[in-house]
Amino acid sequence: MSGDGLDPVIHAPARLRIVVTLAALGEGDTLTFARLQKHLGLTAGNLITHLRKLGEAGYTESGKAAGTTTVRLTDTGRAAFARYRLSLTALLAGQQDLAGVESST
Amino acid sequence: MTVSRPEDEFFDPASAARVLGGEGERVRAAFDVRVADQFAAWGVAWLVGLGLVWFQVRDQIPYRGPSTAVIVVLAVLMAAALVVTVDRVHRATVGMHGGTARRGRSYGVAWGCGVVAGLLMVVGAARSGAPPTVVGTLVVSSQLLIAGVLYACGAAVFGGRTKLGLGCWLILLAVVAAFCDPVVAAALGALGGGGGFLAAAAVSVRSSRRTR
Repeated sequence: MSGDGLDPVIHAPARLRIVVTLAALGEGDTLTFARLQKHLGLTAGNLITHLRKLGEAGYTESGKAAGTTTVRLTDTGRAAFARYRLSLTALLAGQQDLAGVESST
Repeated sequence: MTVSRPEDEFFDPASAARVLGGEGERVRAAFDVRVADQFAAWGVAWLVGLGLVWFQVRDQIPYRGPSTAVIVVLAVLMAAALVVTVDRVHRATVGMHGGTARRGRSYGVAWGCGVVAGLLMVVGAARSGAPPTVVGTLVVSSQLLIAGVLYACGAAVFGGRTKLGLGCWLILLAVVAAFCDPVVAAALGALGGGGGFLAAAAVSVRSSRRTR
């Protein structure tokens, strides 16, 4: 876990965007690498690097469909993303509470 | 000790929340089949196309049906609406594979088969000697029914109360039109059908603004 308690695999700008995009698909649906790359505006090399990191954590899985490389968010990845969102919400709420206390003292 | 990467150093939680919100919006827009655009295109096609038919046949005694030119205009409008539909669906779903994509393709095939079969049935009725008045009513009523049933089924598969409401409305119109003469049927198709599609477009736009 990062210092903030946020999953460091997801908590990076590009990887967070990747996970948000794949989480928008239906369960079991996949997106081609080309479509994902075009949507995110990343270079192929950059995307591969981030997908490798996500894949090593078991959050994404690559496959093939109609001869092209596809990517999907695994059940583990979906659960991790859900936890990440909860942690982020709690963290921001805590920071807001702290800011409120500090400003009133 | 973990070494932080440059891209992570300044990625504080607030920035992450902004990325979540912003990227979420972008993804919703990218994967959106924009039903409002589709409904608007079909609304114009039905309203203007069948409106032209009605305008031409409203004083025909005896009823002869629309001219070839008006039928061509109707067909071009319908084809344009089909192009809009295919374009919006393609832009949203290109590169997608899996259950959702398969259901979408099946739905598209059902539409194609349904519409073509409906038209061929009317041709069959005409060739069997059905008078122009019956053919004129049948073509409107059958296409309303096919569209209505497919939208209602689409709502069952993909969700969407607007789609279900539109489907049920078109089915109701189909039944009413079946009991009318072809002039009234054309008016029902134009105003009720075209109007229904345009109303569905407006509701879809309002719904999408509310969910943002």
